[in-house]
Amino acid sequence: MSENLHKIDKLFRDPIEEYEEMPSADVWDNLDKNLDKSNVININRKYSRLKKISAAMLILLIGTLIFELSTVNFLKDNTTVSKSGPEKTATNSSNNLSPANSNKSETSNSLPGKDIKKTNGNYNSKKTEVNKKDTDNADLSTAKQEQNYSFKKTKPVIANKNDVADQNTKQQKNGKSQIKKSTGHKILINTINGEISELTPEASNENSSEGAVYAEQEPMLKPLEKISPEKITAYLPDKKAVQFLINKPVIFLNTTSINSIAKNKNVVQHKFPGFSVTLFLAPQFSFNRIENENHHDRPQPTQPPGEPRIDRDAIKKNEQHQTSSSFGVLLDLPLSQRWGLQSGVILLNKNTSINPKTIYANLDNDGNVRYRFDCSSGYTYISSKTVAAPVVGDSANAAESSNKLQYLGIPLAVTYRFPLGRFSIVPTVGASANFLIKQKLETELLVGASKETQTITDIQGLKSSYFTAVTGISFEYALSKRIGFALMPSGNFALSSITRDAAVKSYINSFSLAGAVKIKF
Amino acid sequence: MQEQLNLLIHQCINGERNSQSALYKLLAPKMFVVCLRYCRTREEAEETLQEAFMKVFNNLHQFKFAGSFEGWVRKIMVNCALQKYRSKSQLHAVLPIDTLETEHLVTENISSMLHTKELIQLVQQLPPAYRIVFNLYVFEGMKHREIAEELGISEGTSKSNLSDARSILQKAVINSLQIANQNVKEP
Repeated sequence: MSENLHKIDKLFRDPIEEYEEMPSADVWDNLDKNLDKSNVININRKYSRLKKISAAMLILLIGTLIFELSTVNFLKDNTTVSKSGPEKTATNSSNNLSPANSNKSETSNSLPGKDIKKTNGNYNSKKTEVNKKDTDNADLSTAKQEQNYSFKKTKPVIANKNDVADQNTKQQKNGKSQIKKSTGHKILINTINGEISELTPEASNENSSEGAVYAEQEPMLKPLEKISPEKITAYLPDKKAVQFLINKPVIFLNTTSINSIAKNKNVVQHKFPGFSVTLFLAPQFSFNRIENENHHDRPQPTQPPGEPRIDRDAIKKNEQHQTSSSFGVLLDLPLSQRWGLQSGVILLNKNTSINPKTIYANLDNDGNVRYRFDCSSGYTYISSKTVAAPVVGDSANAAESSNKLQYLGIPLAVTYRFPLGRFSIVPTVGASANFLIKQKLETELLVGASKETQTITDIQGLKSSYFTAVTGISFEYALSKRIGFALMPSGNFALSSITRDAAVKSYINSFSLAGAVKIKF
Repeated sequence: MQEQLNLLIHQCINGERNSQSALYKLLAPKMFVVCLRYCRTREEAEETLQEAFMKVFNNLHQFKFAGSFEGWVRKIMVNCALQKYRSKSQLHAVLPIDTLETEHLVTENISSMLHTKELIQLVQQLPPAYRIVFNLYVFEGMKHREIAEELGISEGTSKSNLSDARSILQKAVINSLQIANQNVKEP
């Protein structure tokens, strides 16, 4: 019985183990689809590190922007105050003002001329009491500040140089510090702190030929409480300075534009752009153009019998570009409102994976017989450290290899800016010189049963530099006057090959999409 | 030949679809038969084959190029089949086994009269537990101790299952032979 049972084993095992049967075609079709899916997953995993770095950079950028915005808001509040026109100073005891006169000081800024109210020219230089009106606004005023002036809204005043000069002459004769002199001061002080007096049109027209400049309606003044006395402190100039200033044409600020600026507080004005620095990081997608090298004037390398010819098709089929990266600093120099020049320093990385292939032994440049490894970057000779030297024609297998090149690029491009509010579109065209700074070829040599990892850092036939044409377009967003960020798709197109005297000529072309932070100076 | 296979494997590791297709075509016929032995139906066998080949391609980089590649792939096939068996809640079939003595089997006659495909079908008709033990013992060459450890059963159960499997197959073979003889005799 048991013998029978054991025979059953043999009965089934012998024929079944030798039997073969092909499954239906659906099995491979499903496998094909699932393999594509798994490739996508692998690619996603591969770039997870890059995604993490991008996320960290984004967080850093947001933090910088928040900080920048908070400082800008603070500055805007302060600058708005200074731009909004003249402020009333804290009233205080001051030179050249007496209580009696200050009550009538509606005309304190007036000068001789039509439509001008005469002023009392007698002012004391001593400290005086603050009038009642002024005490309302006297929170910031202190008795300690002797040199502050108090001003009130005045009626139209014409600044007439000649009249002032006449008045000044009188003052000098008197040898006193008269109101007219101080009127000159008041004019000066007005221009310092921005207070502007209203002029009537008639007075303006009459004196238009005499060099007077007219002021318009003075703007709304902010409450005094908000003003720091230090900002509006006005100092009496000396005699000579007064003379000089009085003789100068008086310029009143045009408040219309100032008001409009004060109203539109949130507008970031696009003035003539200054010098700026851009920091960027970009993934690069390379695609090479490979051509066969024509060795018309040079003897071709000896090809052992049976060795397949190394040409562009063979190399192209065996190599795949890996996503590379570039990062750097760009410098933008404006030539005009729209035109500019761009330069900088860029670090370019180019990675290529090479499929396993058979390589053949040949004579190297020194006359030794070694295995020659050709790729799109050039060629190199490798030999086994464990196995005896081959003879010409011997073959070995090279497992999956990788080729890494690193270049330092110096671009020079012309830019043209299209400003659209906070946004700008800046197309760029130029060229770049790229200098080789690092080269590496890693492979695994399989000779018989031996397996050796080889790392080559000197690839023959690889040039030390090459040139590219650069073109791109930058989409910029200005978060503030100083800082902004940009998205920059660009293309690099090879003008010269990276190889010389190699099996093939390679031209590196690439597209990149850079994320950048721009800092304006 | 071995070098070519190694090169093909390297290319598959690299993700070359053409190489993967070539490797599949090279191994699928043998591996499909392995799956047919462990599964009840052809469809189930194809499903197991597909899952197993996915694992082969995804884990190809782990192959150390030491030993037989076919053996490594076959091991994956068996593991997939066992995984499928464990995932299904199997009822341990209790089939009545005749205690009558069977005729002495002449393998030479049987092999000429029964196609290998029919033999595979006979194996597929075994209850799952018996089928697994039979395959592991007869085709994979595992000992009862190893089978017991693999399936989480006792050695006694493994031996018992194997014995029962053999008996069922023997009976099935005899029935098939009788049918085959009848077909031959009848014009």
